[in-house]
Order: sequence, then structure tokens, then C-alpha cells
Amino acid sequence: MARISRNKLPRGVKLTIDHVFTPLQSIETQLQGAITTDNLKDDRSTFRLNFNFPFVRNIAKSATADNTLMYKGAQCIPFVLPPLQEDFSIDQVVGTDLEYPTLEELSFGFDQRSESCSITGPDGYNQSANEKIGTASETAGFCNFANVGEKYGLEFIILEKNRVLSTATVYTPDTDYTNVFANTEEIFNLELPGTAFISSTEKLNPFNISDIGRPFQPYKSYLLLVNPTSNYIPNAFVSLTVSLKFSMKMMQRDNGDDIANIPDYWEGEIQNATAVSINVPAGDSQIEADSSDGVQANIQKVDQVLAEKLKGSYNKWSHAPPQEHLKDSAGYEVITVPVFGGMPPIIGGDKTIDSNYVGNYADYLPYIANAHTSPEGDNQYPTFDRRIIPLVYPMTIHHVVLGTFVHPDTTTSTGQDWDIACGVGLGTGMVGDEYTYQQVAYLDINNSVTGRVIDYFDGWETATYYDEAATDFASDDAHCDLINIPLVYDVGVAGTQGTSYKTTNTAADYLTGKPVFAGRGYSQTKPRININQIPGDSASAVEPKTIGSEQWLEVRLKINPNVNWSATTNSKPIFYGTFWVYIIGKKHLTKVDI
Amino acid sequence: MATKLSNREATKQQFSDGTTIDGNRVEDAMDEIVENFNEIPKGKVRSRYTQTQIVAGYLPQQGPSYSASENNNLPWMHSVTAAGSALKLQADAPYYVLGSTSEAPSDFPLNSERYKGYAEKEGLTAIGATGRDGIWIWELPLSFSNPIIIQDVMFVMEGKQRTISGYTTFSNYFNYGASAPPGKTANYGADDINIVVHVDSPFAKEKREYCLKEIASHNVQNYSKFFNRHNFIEGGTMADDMLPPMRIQDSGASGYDMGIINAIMFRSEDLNLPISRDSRIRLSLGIPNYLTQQIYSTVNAGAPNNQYYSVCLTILEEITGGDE
Repeated sequence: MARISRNKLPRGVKLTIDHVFTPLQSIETQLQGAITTDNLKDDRSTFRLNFNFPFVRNIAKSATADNTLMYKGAQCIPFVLPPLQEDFSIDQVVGTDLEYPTLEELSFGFDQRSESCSITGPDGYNQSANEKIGTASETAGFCNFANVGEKYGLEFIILEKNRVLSTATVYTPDTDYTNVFANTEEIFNLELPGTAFISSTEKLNPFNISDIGRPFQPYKSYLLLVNPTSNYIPNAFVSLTVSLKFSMKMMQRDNGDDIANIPDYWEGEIQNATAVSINVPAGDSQIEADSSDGVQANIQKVDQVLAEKLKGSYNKWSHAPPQEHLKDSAGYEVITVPVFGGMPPIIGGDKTIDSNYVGNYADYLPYIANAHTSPEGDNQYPTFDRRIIPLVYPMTIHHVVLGTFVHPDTTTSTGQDWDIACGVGLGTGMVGDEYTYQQVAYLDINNSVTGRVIDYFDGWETATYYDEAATDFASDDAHCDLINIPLVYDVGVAGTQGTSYKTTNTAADYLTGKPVFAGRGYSQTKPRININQIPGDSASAVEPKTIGSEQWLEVRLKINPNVNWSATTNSKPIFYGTFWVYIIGKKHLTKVDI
Repeated sequence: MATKLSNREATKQQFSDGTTIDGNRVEDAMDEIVENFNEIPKGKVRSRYTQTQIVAGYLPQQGPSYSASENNNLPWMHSVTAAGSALKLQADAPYYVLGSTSEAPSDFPLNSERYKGYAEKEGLTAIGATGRDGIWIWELPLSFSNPIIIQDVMFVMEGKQRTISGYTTFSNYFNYGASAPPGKTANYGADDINIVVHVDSPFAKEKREYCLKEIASHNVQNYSKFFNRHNFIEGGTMADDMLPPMRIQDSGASGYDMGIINAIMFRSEDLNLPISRDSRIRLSLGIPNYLTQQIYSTVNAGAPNNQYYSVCLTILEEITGGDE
């Protein structure tokens, strides 16, 4: 316990050294790199899940179908907020000291052209039939004033569900696939009607709602639904960004030589500040103020530290100050990275579908030819997306999680005819002619994701929720999956292996690496602890390829057909919405400087 | 001896030669000291911010069948809002029709220019009903209840040429083409891109002309922003640089590694821009609507979807007691 206590000094009690100097000595001890959240009035750091969409359209095909269904046509985003590795229990045992993140604020904003209108989306639309016509809209991006107050509502819902530990070889959290909402609880709902966005003096765009105070549970799974409630198909919400702001108690930063890529110089150890040297007078000596062992002289030593402010944590060059007072100087962090955002529902194969959207064949994905026809489609060209995220301040990466909205079937071992590979790396050489990478996490999801599925929200019927003809899709269920992307580790060295979700009954299936440090460096922070090159590396850890000078995080996602695109069976859906890659770990306190 | 005042950080009680000292004062002093040390306010912590990174990006749809309609460039939209940008719903027409504002409010357009601070370029294509919609704008609006500090803005636009069956993907070279605009030189880096971060006026939130510009980069010189141009131009190849490799698996001799970065990167670092509480900020990027041949691109030069992009806004937020 880091809090300081003292003996009270009631009237009539003889003043002794204990009354003044014992508390000062306790403070002196604390100031030597031992100040924890117990001592801080403001003991929580914040982090945000930021979801950016190029545009959000109602996924439903038409406005005429059953509108009574909940969440019809919504974009679905699964996410988790797992404990960091040192707190992670593979059996999901919630300890009494496990901290919960608390949802403090939801904010959102979208590009409305600064007008009191809705924005016409990318899908051509037949008003008479009240449905999409399968062509590109010639009016995309235009101001639409047609009943905007009624037709441009937006709803944000968060569903919570228990993650059930599985002992099977393939994760099977439940057997009720008939309704995605059967096993979930709606814990948050914010609905804004279209009238919120039509004022010419103050629209609720962008908008935030704060002081929510809703704790999220570390081992539960969550689904954010972004729902265009108007069910007015031609409209779209352009450049929509939703931000969930959480707070969570701060913690000690990672340290030690089992943190891959951490600067070798300190290995993250706290640089304990030197003692302020409280000079305790002899017992029964005269009480003095200004002498070296006087009351005021020693209070002044504490005062001086406070006047100069308490120090701790890294600067942007991964360098800790030589004198640190703070012990708890790190906070929970999630960087949310969208890939393949804004796509319509995409299917594989050559099946002729009822064209509801612009570009819902796989060949509208970049880099692949006419995928659904021969002969151009007789290829196996993959498609890719990637994001570059600058490393401004250092962090350590504990987990990487991929959230999907329909992807290769997780319920069987022989799923789709395409696989998805996801990787996270560190890059150096920004704005240069040469550059290189150090791998941090990687998973090739080949046909099935046996052993890596954390959880899934499963079971709402495509035909029902998106008005697809049931015959258009052989697999008639849409689902959101959460997949653990393992960090790099040595398969033969237990010391390089970390802790994350237990997803099967075979430990080898869910191995991951110890946390990986990611931060820019200079001469003193350039030498780094060795790192493995891939998850399950059979070779020993080596010097990072970025040699202590990483400048950005890169996230890649590749979709690759295992057979020719035109031959992928049954035209199963590839995805309905964006893939989300969550980089989860610790960030560090910083100050505003250059 | 005169009383020498201390910093009085831990307690306001002062003990010096010539001042009184008694049990009450000592008790008050120690009470204050201990209380202050068990509840250290954030103002006493030098490093009291943490970063948040807002990541955005888009890989536009491409393909042989994809319509390259001038108007289907979402999330990019024209810079100018005028009569030609408005629609109405006609009761007996199967589609929306252009050009009428009969259902638009009387104050339409509220902001004929979508934000202030972008500059139209002489000699670049003018399109659209107004004849002057020469800029495409991408905008990211955000709202914060507590103060933040904008620290870093990054915008990476990548071109990645790949020709399959007659169509080319992300063909922007970011150079002027053979028909460079007046005053520009063919094959030189274009310098027409604008990046603006602005804050809505608290007194006229919907009037963009009153926005406060926090960052304004005009006429950004592409040449100083090229990212790995050398490898791209020289046709350099890269092995499995990182997993998954972005490589066409069976491209044969005609293909090359799609993982090679060919980009321009705009980066503004160490900004230290304080933004007050309850602010509404907008990150905007404008690119001109080049004529075909004005910009070095093999197809469809005017479309803003000839590159894919990553955006990252890094902000700092103060630690909290969870009660703010």
C-alpha cells in the first residue's frame, strides 16, 4: 500500500520525531520511483476505440421488406478489451484487483457537406421499386433534401455477451445459431433522429455524449452496431467516425528482457529518483525550523520536488528520465485500424446474384481481374489492403485481435475457398527510398481458423437482415468473428511465449508471444532486446530488423483465393463490412514538448 | 533573521526562525502534507498526457466493371455546394433528378464553400454545374468534450499500378503529366494539395467561414513527400518484406511486388495545438480534379480514387479521475 499515514498530534501530546519526520520519510521513499495510482488523485488514463468508415450505407437491399426487425441493415463491429498479458488468466478467472475499463464518452461525426441535408450514397436506387438497382449512383455525394428529417436517423448500440470457454478443437461458444441477439445483452443505445442533423444553427454533427460511466468486462465480447435507422436506402453517412472513449486505472510499464524489442539500456526498469535526504533530528533535541534537521528545511526538500513536478515515463524517443518518481506511468491502449472499409457486401465465385449493390462481385476488389467470369477470373490473384500508423510515442503490444463481419466460416474446418492473412509489423525508413519491417504479429487463416477464434456473434440470417434472396448465398448466416493474431515467439523457448485467449483444448493451438515494444529510438535507445521473426519461430530471437529505429506500425490484410476466383464454390460471402484490427497494449504518459 | 518563504507546495504552513510553532500548526501542516501526497493532483505530474491515434483510410473499389462515374467518388465530395449539388425527390420519377432546389431550405446553400482555406488552382479542370468545382475534399469531423492537444497529422496516399485485363489500379504517380497546368512542368511533382485542420466557431457552429484554422498547408510540394519513389521508379523488387507479402502470386514476369510503397506522405509533427473543451474539429484534405494528362496517371486522372490512403490523427488527452 503506497498511501502515507501518520500519527495524529492531538492537544497535550508531546511532539516527537514520529509526528513530523516519519511521514516525511515515507514520502521520501515514495519519491524514489514508487508513486502509484494510490497516491494520484487523477489515476486513470483514457483510450479510445475509433471506428472510421469511408461511408456507411444501409446494407439492406430495400426499404420494403420487414422493417420490424431489430438492427436491420446495421454495420456490425465486434471487439474485446482483454486484460494485458500480466493480468491475463487463460481460464478467465477475474481477480479482485483486475481493472475494468469504463466507457466515458461516445462521439461521432460525419461529412454532411456542412448542409442541412442527407448525402446520397453510392448505390443507384429505384424509387418506384424502393430498392437498389445494382448500378453506381450518378448522384453520389449530392445534397438530398427529400424528407431528410425522417430519413437520416442514426443509432449506436453496444451488445455484450459472455465468452464461454471451449474445450473443443474448434471454438464453439454456443449452439444457438438462430438469433444473434439471443445470447447478448444490449448495454448501450443512443438513437438520433434525422432532425438532429438538419438545423442550420447547430447540428448534432459532430457530437459527443459524455459521463456515461459504464464498466466493460475484460473477458466479455462486445458488438457495436452502427445502424442507419431511416431505412432509406439511397442515403449514406460519409466519413463516419465513431469514437468510444474509455478510462482505466494506470499501471506500471513493461520491463525486463522478456519484452521483445525493448531498449536494452534500461529494459524498461524504473529509474528510481535519488532520495531527497530527509535529515531526522536526534530524539529529544530542540525543535528547529531552518537547520539542516529542522522541520521547515525538510519540508522544503519535498516542496522542491513538487515544484519541479513529478517525473516518470518515456519521451517519444523511448527514453526514460534519469530520475523517476512515478511507478505507475502506463495506461491501457487500443489502436483500432480499419481495413477494407466501405466495401459493399462482397461475394466470391461466378454465381449470378440479384445485383443489389454496386460492385458486390469479388472482382471489384483491387488487384484481381474479372473474378466471376472466365477466362479472366481463372486466376488466383489476391487482394490487399494496408494501413500505416506513425509511431509518435512508444507503446508495448500485448494482443492483436482481428474483428470481422463475415469471413471464412469458423464453424467448420472446411470453410470457404479463400483464406485471409493478417499481419502487423514495425516499419522504418519513412519517406525514404529504402525501408524495412520487423514482424510483430501474423496469422494466415487458411480455410478455417481452428484454434484462434476468440468468440463470435453468429446466426442472423442474411436473407432476413439484408434482404438478400436466400438462394444468393449458400451460407445463409452472417457472423462477426474475433480472431486472435499471435505475436512472434520461439516455438521451442517457453520464455518467449506469452499469455492470451485459450481457444481450444490444445495449448499449442493458441500460443502467442510476449509483449513487443514499439517506439522510436536514438543512440541510447537503439540497441534492443532480440525478437523472433514469426509466431512459432523455430530459430532463435535475433536483433530486430528495424534496429531500434522503427517509425510506423503497419497493418496488412490479404484475401487470397485457394482456387480460381471464378471457381470458388457456392458464392459464399467474403465480407459485409470493414475488417478491424485491434492493436492492444500499453501506452505511456508523456508531456508536451518537442 | 527575516522569514524566508518556502515553495509552499506541500503545505501552506511555514516554519522559520521567528515564526511561531505549536501543535496546531504542526498538526495542520502534516495533515496537509499527507493529504496532498495521497491525492496528488495531475498538475503536479509533469508527464500527464497519453496519446490517442485516430486511424482512417480507404481502399477504393476498383475493377473492370466498376463505374468510374464522376459523381461516385465517395468519400470524396465536391468543394462547392450550389444548386447543382442539390436533389429533390420527384413523385413520379423513378430516380432522383438533378438541378432543382425546390425542396431545399431557403438558406441553401448554408456554406457554398465546404470549408475555408482551400485554394482553387488556376489551370486545373473545372467541372460540375457551377463550373468551378475543381477540388475534391475528404473531411473527418470529430467532437471532444474535454480539452485535447493535436500532436501529429499524417496522410499517406499510395499509388500501386497494376494492369490486368485492360484496367489499371491506383495509377496516380503524383507527378504532372504531359499537359501540365500553366506554370507547371511536365513530369514534376504536383503541388496542389491542401490540408486544413479547423475548429468550428462556438458562436456560429454551422458557418464554415467563421472556422478557426489551426493547421493550413497549401500547395504541398509532392516532391518533398515521396515515399520510396526510387524503388518504384526503378522497378525494384522486394521479397517477403513483411507477412502477409503484398505480392501477386502468379503474376509472372509482367507483374511485380504490390507491397512496394509508392506514396506521398504528408506529416506534421510536434504540433502542440491545444483545442478547448467541447470543440468540433474538422480534418480536411483537398485534391484538385486534374484533367486527364494533367497528372501523370494512366487512366481516369480526374478521379480521387486513383490512390488508396491511410490517415492518422494523433492527439493527447490528460489523465483523469474518471469524474470529469
